[in-house]
Amino acid sequence: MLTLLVVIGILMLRAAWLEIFQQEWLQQQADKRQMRVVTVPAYRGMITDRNGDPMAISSPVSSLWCNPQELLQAREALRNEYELSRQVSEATAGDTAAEESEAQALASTRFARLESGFRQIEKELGMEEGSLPAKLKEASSKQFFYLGRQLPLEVADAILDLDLPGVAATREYRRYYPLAETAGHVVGMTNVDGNGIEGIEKAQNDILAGKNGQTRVVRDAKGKLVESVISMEEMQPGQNVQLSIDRRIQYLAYKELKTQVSLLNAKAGSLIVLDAHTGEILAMANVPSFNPNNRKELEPYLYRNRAVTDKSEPGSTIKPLTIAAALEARVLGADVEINTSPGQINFGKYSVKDPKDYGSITLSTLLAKSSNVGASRVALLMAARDQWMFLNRVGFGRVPNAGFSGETAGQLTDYTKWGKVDRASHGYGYGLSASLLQTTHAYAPFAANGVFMPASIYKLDKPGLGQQVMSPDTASAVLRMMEAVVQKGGTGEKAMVDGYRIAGKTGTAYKYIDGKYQNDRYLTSFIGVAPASRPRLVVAVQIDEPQIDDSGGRAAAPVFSKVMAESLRLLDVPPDNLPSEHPPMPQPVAPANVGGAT
Amino acid sequence: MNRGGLLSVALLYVLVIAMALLIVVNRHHSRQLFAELQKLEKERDELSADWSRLKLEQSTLLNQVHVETRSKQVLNMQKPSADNIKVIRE
Repeated sequence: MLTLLVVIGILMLRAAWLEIFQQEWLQQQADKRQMRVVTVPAYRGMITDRNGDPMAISSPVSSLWCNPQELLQAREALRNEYELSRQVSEATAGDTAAEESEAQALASTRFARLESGFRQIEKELGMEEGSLPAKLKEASSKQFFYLGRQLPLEVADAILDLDLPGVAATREYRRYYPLAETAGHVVGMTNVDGNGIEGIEKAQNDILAGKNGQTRVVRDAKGKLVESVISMEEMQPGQNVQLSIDRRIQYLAYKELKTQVSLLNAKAGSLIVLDAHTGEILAMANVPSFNPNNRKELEPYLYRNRAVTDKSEPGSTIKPLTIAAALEARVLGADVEINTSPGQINFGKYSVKDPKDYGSITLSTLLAKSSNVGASRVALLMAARDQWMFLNRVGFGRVPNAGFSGETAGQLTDYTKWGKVDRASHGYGYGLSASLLQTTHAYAPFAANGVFMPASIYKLDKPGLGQQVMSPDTASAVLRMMEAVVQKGGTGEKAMVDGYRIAGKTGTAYKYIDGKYQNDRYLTSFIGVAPASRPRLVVAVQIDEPQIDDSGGRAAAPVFSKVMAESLRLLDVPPDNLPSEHPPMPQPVAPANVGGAT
Repeated sequence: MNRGGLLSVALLYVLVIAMALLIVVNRHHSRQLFAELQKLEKERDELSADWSRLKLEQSTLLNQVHVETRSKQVLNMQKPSADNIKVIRE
């Protein structure tokens, strides 16, 4: 009795000792083993097109990790269990059948399930079949080994459900890009840690990413979470970003551009579809492109968004702007004729040439024939300041700020340094440079009654603040002139679209490489506006160094025609150039205006 | 110590024990709820994985080219040419 009391007394003293004097130390040790701060990953917002269809979407995945040694031991144990039960069941065939076969069924399924789990991981990650256990053995000296990163939930769960020691999973998100290489340059991509490194993913990373949360939790010996002690930081899911892109147009634009670039064996190509009234970019495609779903085979030159980052001399596509500038400066009227004889102007050792002497031509013919001499004459009528002011107003030499990263401002030098040669060459698109986005954007006022809307890659709830850069009269006059380009005999004949009136301009610019113009390497382009009677869209196509058909009219115009036709149809823009040989049906009641052209 | 004092000490003692038990019960309950929460979070993840998968599937099926080939081949539809179009303006 006394002994018992003594023992109890000793135990109580010990308990008191631990509780009172060592409590802090013990608590720390316990926390060290049980408490963990767990990161709750934030869901990355979607990138959608203007209709809300996904262009980038995150899907939850599991990264499965383990302690290799523990897992190998567990696997061995399962295998033994399985072998043993099989032997037992063979030896005692039939006797205690029910019990044994049950045990065997359990063991074999557990072992088989682990093995089939391994096979699934190997398949998912494209590894050789049966290579995972070997890799585990290799890593058996380590404490930590990724069985597989970013696995589909069900694959990871198949193994987690076996409840093996030393195996655990971390929740992550994986990014999918349903449009793949079609919109790679616009959407961009994230790196393996989920940070945007290209395109919109980079430009809007802060909004898309959200904020990871942190929670202090208690874990049991198997690493399972038992209790959440305190939420240190709330997880904030990322927000969606809506682009101005129309997926349907984007898809067909890329497809047509790619077909043409490979057909002509060209170096590269870019394409932009712009809504002139809102400044929204409906499609932007570049070839060569990359597939953001597959980060492995990426070379830097593939993921440059050429339409935005590369500047080049626009060439003849600038001529309509030269004429508009001259009309705005009131140095000529829309109905004048320009004398281009003798098809050549000499400025000392430098000369501007036309393919032949066109004689005295109207401004429409000047554009239709793309006369360099004519454009130079028009440019020389203006003061350098007026020319510069106009070009600057329509975006040359300024960053477009459309929402991309790495937008170039192009180059437009100070007009006070311009000589006669500069003024003339600026008139037909040399001596200054711009990205395709800038040149496309500069055409938008022609389609919007002279209003220059800021360009945007994001869908706008209400249009931005536009600027009147030319009078509506100038806009419609130049538009009429540009219609002459897309007629039989014009340089842009191939840009015609069935049912619509098209206004546009071809461009075939010599490339300036190694300090001189190369007369066998061209940058061909076509920029056009439709429908000409009620303009809405600007479509620009640029094809770099086509090996055959090397002019804007032959290389770029056919792509323009297809993309413009489909875009107008997809956007339900009514045709304005229907054949008029069918007279309107007699209308008994109020006559409707059948036939379109108004 | 008088009778009242003794009684209140006993009462407090009982209260302390009761509180201790309540804490244990609560703690257990909170752990159960946390387990439930984890189950639900897992379910949510699975559902959102399903959702994004379905969303992707939908967007693949809605692909313009896919829709166009289907409407041409299955429904025998065709794009009208310009001479078959009439525009009625109001």
